[in-house]
Amino acid sequence: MSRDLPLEQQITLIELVDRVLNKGVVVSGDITLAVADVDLVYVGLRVLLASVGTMERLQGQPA
Amino acid sequence: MIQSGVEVAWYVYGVVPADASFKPAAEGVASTRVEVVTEGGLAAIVGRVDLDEFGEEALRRNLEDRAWLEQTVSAHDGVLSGAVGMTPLVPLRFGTVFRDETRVRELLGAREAEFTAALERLRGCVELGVKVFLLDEERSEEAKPTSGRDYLLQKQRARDATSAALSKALDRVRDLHEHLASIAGGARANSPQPPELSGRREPMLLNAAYLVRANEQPEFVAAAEDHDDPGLEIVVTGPWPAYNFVEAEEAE
Repeated sequence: MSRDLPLEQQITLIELVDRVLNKGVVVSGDITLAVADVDLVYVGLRVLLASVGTMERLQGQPA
Repeated sequence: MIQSGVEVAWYVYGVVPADASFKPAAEGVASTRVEVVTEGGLAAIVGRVDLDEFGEEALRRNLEDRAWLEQTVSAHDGVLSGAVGMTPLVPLRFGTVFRDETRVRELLGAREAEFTAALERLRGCVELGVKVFLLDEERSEEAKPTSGRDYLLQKQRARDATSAALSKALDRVRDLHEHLASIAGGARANSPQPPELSGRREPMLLNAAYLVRANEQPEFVAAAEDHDDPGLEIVVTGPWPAYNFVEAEEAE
């Protein structure tokens, strides 16, 4: 369902990931996310961008 | 709470005052019900999730699943955003999970002073995002170069013009940020995003967040957009939960 999101929604999603995964009070819960120590937001953005081919295509086009 | 071997854990979205009156979002992450756990003067916004989805291994695996990531991150923000403007709120980072309700209460107790102080600081405020992009300037068409030297000179002039425009724009953006910071309750300049993240070809010159009194949002937005520079585009987002204003090292 998500593959064909319009560009605007893709950007909103990246904005969300940047805040939700990157900001907020850090509490050590009982489930420790091993990847969190590396960089949670990096993981999230990498996953999103990996399939944002549409975004790159749009960027390559003249406005 | 244990059914067919599936263990339940407590996902925590954020912390609000115990006496906060707000209507929690109907649904949180993994379509779970949004609940409140109260301890002393504080309340945690929580949801009961399955460990086979939110345990360490599962979380690590799910983070790599784009559809899961989208849904879960959106749900996390949806729960917090639903309370914005109705109560002060301290957002927790994504993926904070406890084994049981008692552990959630212990968290509220152990960090009561810190959460209470943060809630007091955030009371009546929302976060607004401001991004500034440098638009392509309209370059005057130069005559077709008649020689290699001519061509190189034109290239040099174009580079000089671009760098002068950038430097001027950066000055303006710094002034804007300083002004907005002066009328906001808090300011944070994050790293400008590269085009792959911003989704825009134009360079991003400012990627900032401001803590603004909820009832002063229109004035703040007007101040952010009040400029007469056709070379700059200003994008205001929000209101957001105060994601950028709950960390200990609140720089700027």
